[in-house]
Amino acid sequence: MIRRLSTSPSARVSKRTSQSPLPIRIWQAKWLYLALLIPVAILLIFEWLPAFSALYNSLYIWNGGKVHFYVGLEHYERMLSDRTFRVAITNLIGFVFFRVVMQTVLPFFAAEMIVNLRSARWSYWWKIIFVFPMVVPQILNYLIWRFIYNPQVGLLNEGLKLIGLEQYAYAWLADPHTVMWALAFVRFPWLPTLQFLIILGGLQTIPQEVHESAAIDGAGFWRRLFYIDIPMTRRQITLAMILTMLFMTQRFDLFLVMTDGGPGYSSMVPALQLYQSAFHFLEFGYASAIGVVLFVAMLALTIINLRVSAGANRE
Amino acid sequence: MYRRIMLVALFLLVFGAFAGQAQDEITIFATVGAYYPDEPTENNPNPPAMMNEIVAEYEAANPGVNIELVDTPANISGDQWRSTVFNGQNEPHIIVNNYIRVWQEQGNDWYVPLNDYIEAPNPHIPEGTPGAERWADSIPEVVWDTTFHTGSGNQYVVTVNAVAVGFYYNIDMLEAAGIDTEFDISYSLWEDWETMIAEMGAVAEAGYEPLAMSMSTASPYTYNWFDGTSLTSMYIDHIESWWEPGASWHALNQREFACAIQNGLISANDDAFADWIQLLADFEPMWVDGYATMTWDEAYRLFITGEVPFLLGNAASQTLNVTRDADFNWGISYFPPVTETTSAHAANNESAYLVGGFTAGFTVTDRARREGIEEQVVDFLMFVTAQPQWGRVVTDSPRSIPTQFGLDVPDALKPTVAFLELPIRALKDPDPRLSRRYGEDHRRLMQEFFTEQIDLETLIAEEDRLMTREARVVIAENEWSCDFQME
Amino acid sequence: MSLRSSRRIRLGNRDLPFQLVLIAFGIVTFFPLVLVVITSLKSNTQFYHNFWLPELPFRFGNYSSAFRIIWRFIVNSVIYSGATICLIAAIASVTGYVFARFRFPFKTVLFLGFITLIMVPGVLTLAPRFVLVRDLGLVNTPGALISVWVSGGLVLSTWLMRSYFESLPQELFDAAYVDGAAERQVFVYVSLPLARPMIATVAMTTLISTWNDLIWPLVTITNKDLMPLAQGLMQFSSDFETDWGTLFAGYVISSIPLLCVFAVAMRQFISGLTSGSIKA
Repeated sequence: MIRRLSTSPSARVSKRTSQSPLPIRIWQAKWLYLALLIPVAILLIFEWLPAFSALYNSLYIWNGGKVHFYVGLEHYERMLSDRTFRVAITNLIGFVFFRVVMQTVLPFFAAEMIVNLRSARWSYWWKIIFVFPMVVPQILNYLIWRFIYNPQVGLLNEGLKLIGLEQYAYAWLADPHTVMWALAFVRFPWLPTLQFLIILGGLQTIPQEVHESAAIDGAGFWRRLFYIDIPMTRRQITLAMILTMLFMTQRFDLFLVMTDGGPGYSSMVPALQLYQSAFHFLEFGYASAIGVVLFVAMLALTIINLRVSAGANRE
Repeated sequence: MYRRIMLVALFLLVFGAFAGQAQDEITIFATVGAYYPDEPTENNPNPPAMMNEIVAEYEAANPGVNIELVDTPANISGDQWRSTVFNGQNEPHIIVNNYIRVWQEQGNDWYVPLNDYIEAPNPHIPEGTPGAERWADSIPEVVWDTTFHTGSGNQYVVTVNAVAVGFYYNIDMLEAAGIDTEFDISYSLWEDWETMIAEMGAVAEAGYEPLAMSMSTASPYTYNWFDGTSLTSMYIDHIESWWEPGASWHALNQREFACAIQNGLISANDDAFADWIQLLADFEPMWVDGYATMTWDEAYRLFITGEVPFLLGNAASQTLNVTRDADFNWGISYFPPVTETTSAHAANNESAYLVGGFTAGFTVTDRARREGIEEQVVDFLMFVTAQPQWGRVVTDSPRSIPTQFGLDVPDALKPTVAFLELPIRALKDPDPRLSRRYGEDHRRLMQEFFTEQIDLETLIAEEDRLMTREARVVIAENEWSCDFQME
Repeated sequence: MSLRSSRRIRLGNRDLPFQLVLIAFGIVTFFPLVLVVITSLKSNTQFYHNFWLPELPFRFGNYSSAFRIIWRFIVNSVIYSGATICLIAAIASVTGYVFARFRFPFKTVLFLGFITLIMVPGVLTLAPRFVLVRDLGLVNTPGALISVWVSGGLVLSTWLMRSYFESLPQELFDAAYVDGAAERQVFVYVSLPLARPMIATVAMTTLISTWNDLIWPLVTITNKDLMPLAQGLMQFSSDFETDWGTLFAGYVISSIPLLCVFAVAMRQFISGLTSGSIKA
């Protein structure tokens, strides 16, 4: 039964099966559902259940213990007038925008260079070299970048002094004007493994003939870049951007370890505010509401991003 | 299908294998804070391990009782750890905790009130030593007072540590900068706040950043200590009228301070309050570059390498480290008093204050009660905190000054004993003064002011809003009445 | 890697400028890692006085101290991560295959149920998930880590596997069906061997995320004998003092098992992610 369902390309299958009534189609797919039973059960229990309980708690005042009572949408109202949340959102937008650009452009250029190397051996080794830093724990990177930004002996300030630019030596993490920039550059110019390899994969699958005919037409590097490589890897680039956006929006350990959102609120982001509301102030309800808003925002941005990309593909 | 069945089986096996191990014996999990026995390393070949011995003795004397010491996560994840383990009812039976956290969380019944236990004899304290007949007698009254939670009328914390805070200073550096440092252990290095600012200014003139300190919760931070001390001085003439009836000089509890705000006895719009902000603002230029996000370790490094002549530190636990690491002559001093030289509002203030004090102690958690082993857990706590045991712990690892009667101050901490004779500051750190949320927001507001993101007017307005709101919340949460204060 | 030869475009020798840029990139990327090794050979005093440069005598003892303390955490982590990887690889390949190769009612809804989880902030679900794991009686057992790591890793892994299976040409399967192979046989003998690169990818990403996870073990494991590596490394730093040399030596040691796996699975891992199948 299953075999027959699937021997033909899926388009054909769906055409045929869509004519039979729903219960029959469900019955026909019973083995498939069985195969999905385990993963669906796991995700329901360990992912969706906690997620929904967070959604539920966002309507309550809950201190993580006995105090638990219904307040409706009060937390969401409070968010509207919460100065900290407003600042946090502003900071986040700038941060995510910068990281998305940085973590798409850098991997793209690195991948472009690697793909274009004539030496296949070097091309292979460069991939390994740039993928290698993924074994380094995140927390270790943060510790090192604290050293780099250290106002007194940090590498950055020492370097600036060395080349005679002492007047630009800042307390990078403690100055409200520089702190978000400093955080945005943490790990620069590291190539995020997933995004880098996905874009590299896209570039590798551009057929040789396309480039050859472009070369015959006299297209130089930049022309080829904008008229062939970027359009043909659009879907990989979109994905890299979405992934970066999702990861960066949820990031709070960076801010916690490096600045704790300071000085003042100048490096506060919603994920950190969520963390602090929950674990410092025991306002689990408010924290959950922030999380729900973040989730909705990420979902909306992802959908918009996909739509825009799909629209561009159709053109 | 077999594959799938195998998968299910594997899944169940992994999950089931570790669940439900029956236990007949009692196991008590306990955190012991800074006294957790570390394992030796190249850089620290003989770490203090007295706790292991004490546990072994107790287990030998009580067959069937196992004690498991639990390492507490460092500051940055400690809060998260605590609220999650409590939430999941997986908390250790004994937790070392800051009393302000206990106050904040006590409404959840996470902690067992110790009122009755401390009235009873402690069988582990030898006959004739204070505490043998009544456990509470082993520790001075002032300690119990500080940590007593007025809201519920309960005592949750047994505090056996005293901590003092002070300035370490590098004598060699100060002499090079032409500053006389003749030093007597029983006095502050400076007569008053103005002298301190002046001398630190002289150090700055000589080309150094004067004071290493931190104002970030990335690690324990030190700014708070100025905050409470100097605020105390500014309101010295009024504080008495904030007391609950019959009180004498003491560290104000949450209720007294919240009610003082509610009743308009203190407000961000006061002249004294503005003077206080000014005092901190005048001091801020002396703080090292980057203090707003500095960690404890970074501040310490600046002092120990001779880059910065002053370090604001924990005079108890850090003295050990400085003794070990410093290759220069150094001294330690406490905060100078804020007097009328600085502000007319501090005209009647003559005293410097003890900063630090009795902050962390042992709590017994609800788990002991749930598992029906409360008595056993309290017995173990009595054993550990009894003078014969605790004396050995602090001698082995002199990280703080023991509070119990009959115990000597460890030699390493002798320089800080004078500190403990100072009166307690009436107004504590921002967190315990009012609430955790207040402390956090207040710190951030001050940072915004210091980094010139907001001006004085905005700061005062925001502070006013914050204080009023938090006072209202705290009073409502605890259902306190504020009738006891006179307007 | 058959594509690689076709990448060579005859436009003259452009390798040199590219190589130079890549080398610069590489140096800046790797410099922080060199610092870790340098610091791991110092005592605190050496570190405080000389922040950046190596200094004699090298404290190789940091490595023996660190190893003596963390080897048992490494063993724990190998077991936990190993079990997690096996479970995820098994479940994700079946699930990915089903989503990629079949049409059935509610497929889109089910798949969205998987993929939207990537947008739920982990810190948001921490407390409720902990309550759940407690109610299942898993606290202070390896089950607490493995169950949640499996569910957490399943989302990305299923998606990767699905994308990969979708990109396999239909002719491969048709040929097998024509030969009379049952679906199970097609999966085991045709699809799985072809999917080896992506399975390596899934294994590698799972390994790295579980190996370095700190927050979850922190709240679920209090028994020292059961702690995984990231948690075990915490004992080199406390509130008031950090033993930098030993801590960093511990980090270096802890990355050695990862390096071994990396060396073995590298080729497959890279070819899995660069197969071109992964896109929006």
